[in-house]
Amino acid sequence: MTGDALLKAEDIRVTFEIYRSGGMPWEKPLALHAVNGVSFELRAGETLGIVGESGCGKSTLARAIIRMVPATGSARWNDEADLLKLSPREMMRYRSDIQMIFQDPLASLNPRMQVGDIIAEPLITHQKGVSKSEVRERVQEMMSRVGLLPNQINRYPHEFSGGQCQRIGIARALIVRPKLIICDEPVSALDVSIQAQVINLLMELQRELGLALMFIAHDLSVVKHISTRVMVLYLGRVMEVAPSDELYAAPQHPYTQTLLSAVPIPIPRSSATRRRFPLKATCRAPQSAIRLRVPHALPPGDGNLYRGGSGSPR
Amino acid sequence: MLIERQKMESLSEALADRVEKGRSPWADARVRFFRNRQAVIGLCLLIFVLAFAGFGPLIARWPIDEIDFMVMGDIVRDGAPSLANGHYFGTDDLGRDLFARTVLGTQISLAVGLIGAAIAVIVGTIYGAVSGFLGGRVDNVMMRTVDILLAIPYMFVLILLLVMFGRSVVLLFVGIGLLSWLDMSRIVRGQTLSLKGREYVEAARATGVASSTIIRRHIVPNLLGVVIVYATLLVPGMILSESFISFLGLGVQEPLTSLGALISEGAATMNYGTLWQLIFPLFFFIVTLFSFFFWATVCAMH
Ligand SMILES: Nc1ncnc2c1ncn2[C@@H]1O[C@H](COP(=O)(O)OP(=O)(O)OP(=O)(O)O)[C@@H](O)[C@H]1O
Ligand SMILES: [Mg+2]
Repeated sequence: MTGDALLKAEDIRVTFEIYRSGGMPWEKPLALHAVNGVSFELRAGETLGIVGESGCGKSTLARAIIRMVPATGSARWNDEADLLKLSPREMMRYRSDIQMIFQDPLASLNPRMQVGDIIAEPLITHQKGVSKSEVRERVQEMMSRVGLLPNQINRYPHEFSGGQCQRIGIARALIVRPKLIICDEPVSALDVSIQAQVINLLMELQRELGLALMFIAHDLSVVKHISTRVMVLYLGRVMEVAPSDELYAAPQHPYTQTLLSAVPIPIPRSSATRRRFPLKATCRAPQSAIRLRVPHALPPGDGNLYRGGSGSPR
Repeated sequence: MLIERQKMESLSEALADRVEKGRSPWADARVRFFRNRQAVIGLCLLIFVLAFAGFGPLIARWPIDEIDFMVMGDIVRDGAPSLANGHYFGTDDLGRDLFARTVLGTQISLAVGLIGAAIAVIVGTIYGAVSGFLGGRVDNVMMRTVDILLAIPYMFVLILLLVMFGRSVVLLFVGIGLLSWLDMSRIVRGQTLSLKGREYVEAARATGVASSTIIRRHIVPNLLGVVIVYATLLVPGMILSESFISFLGLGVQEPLTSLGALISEGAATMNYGTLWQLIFPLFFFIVTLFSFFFWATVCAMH
C-alpha cells in the first residue's frame, strides 16, 4: 500500500496569522490552524472524497498541496519529490501533473479571453514549443471530449451556461494530461441535473485516463457516488478515513455520525397518503375552467399560469 | 453519455468548418453605445473638434505668425471676422490670423490632453497593477511613494520647473503627464486587489503562469474598463491644467499657442470691443471639454 502512492501527505499544517483589528503592529498575531496535521494517501486512478462543514479547511488543504498557501509537513509525489519543499522553479514541473477545477464555473474563466485561449493556457505554459495550429487542434479535440462543440472555440465564457463553463474548466485541467485533479466543490454551483452530467463526465474521464481525483464537496451523496475513499475533516483535523461504502454504512467517529445524520434523505410519502394536485387544465381552457380545476395552491389565472411558474430562476 | 457524445460529434462535424465568432464584451458595449444618444452626441462633438484640428490648416488662408499689415492699424475696425480678407475668426491684437491660431491652439491643447493622459494611463496602470498584484511589502513601499508624491502641490512644482528651465512644450507634456499618473495608479491598484482574488487568476497561478504574464493576460485586460473611464476624465483635466498654466503666461512659447493662451489674450482685450478674440477660442475650448466629458459619463455607464 505504501510504495505505489501517487501522493502521500503527512502531517500537513497550514496556519494563518490573524492580526487583531485595531491591534498594535508589534502585537503577536493570533494563529488560526486552518489545516492541523492532515495525512492521507492517494493512488493513481483513485478518488479521495473530502467532506466536512464549511470552514473546516478543505479548500486550504487543496491550496496547500499546490503551494498556493505556505504549509508545513510533507507531500511526497510519486516517491520522487516532496511538493512542499520544492523551490518554485522545481515545482513548475509538477504543476502540469496536478490541475485544479474550481467551484464557481464562470468566475474561474477570464471574461476577456476566448474559450480556446482559456483552455490552451496550461498547455502553452508548460509545453513551450508547441505550434499554434497544434495547440488549436488539441484544444478542439479536448473540447469535443468534454462535450463542447469544437467550433465554439472563439466564444467568450459569458455565452455559456454554468454546466458548459464547468466543462471548459475541466477541459483546461485535462489539456496537459495531469495525473491528479483537485476538484474543489466542482458541482456546488450547478443545477442538480447538470451536477449529474458533470460528475459522470469526471468519472468517465477518470476511467479513460487513469486520473486520481481529490474531490471536495458538501454534498455527501455526491461524494459517496464518486469516491473510492472518503476523508472527513473537522476544524482542520482528520476525523475518519474509510472506503466510502464502509463509511456510509458504519461511520465510526461520532462527528461522522452527526454529519451523516444531517443529510436530508428524500423519502417519498406513500402514494396513498399523499395529496396530489393534478393540473389538467390545458392552454385552451377558459379562465373559469382553470379556476375550477386548479385547487387552492395556485392563484386564479392572470396569464402567469400559461408561462409556467412565475419568477423561476433561469 | 455515449449517445450524447455521438450526437455532439455528428453535430460538430456538420458545423465543423463554420467556426463561430464569439461576441466579446466589447462588442456588446459597442452595440449599446450606438443606442445611447448622449454617447453619439459626444462622439459627434469629438469628431468635429478633431476635424477642426486636423483639416483647419488646409482651410486657413494665413499662416499662424504672419502679421496682416492691412488690419494692423485699427484692429477693432478692420480685424473683425470676415470672409473677404480670409480672417474667418478675425485677427488677434497683433494682426495675426485668429483662425489659424485657434486651429493651432486646439491641436496643442488636444495633444497635451491626449499625450498627458496616455503617459498617465501607461505609467499608472503598470505601476498600480504591479503594486497590487505583488502585494505585501512591495505594495506598501510603492503606495507610500505615491502618497508622498501626492502630498507635493504639483501645480506649484510645475510652475517652478517652467520658470527655472524656461518654457517648453516638452517639459509641459512630461510634467503634466508624469504627475497625473499618481491617482491612476491608486485606482488601478485598488481594482487589481479585487481582481487578484478572482478564481481565474488563482487558476492561472495554480498552473504556474508567470506573474508578469498573469498581469498582462488576466489583470490588465480586465482593468481596461475602469482605466478607459478614468482616462477620458483625465483628458479634459489635462487640457484644463495646461490652459491654466498658459493663462498664467507660462505655457507654450510664442509663436506656438494653446487654447488657454488664446483665451487669456482674448480676455485681456475684451473691453476694447474685440470680443471675437475671446469667443472663438473659448467656444472650441468648451466643445473639446464637453465632448470628453460626454464620453466619460457614457463609458462610466457601461
Ligand atoms: N488567506 C486566509 N487568511 C486567513 N484565514 C484564512 C485564509 N483562507 C482561509 N482562511 C480560514 O481558514 C479556514 C478554512 O477555510 P477553507 O476555505 O479551507 O474552508 P472550506 O472547508 O473550504 O470551506 P467551504 O466549504 O465553505 O469552502 C476558515 O476559517 C477561513 O476563515
Ligand atoms: Mg472551500
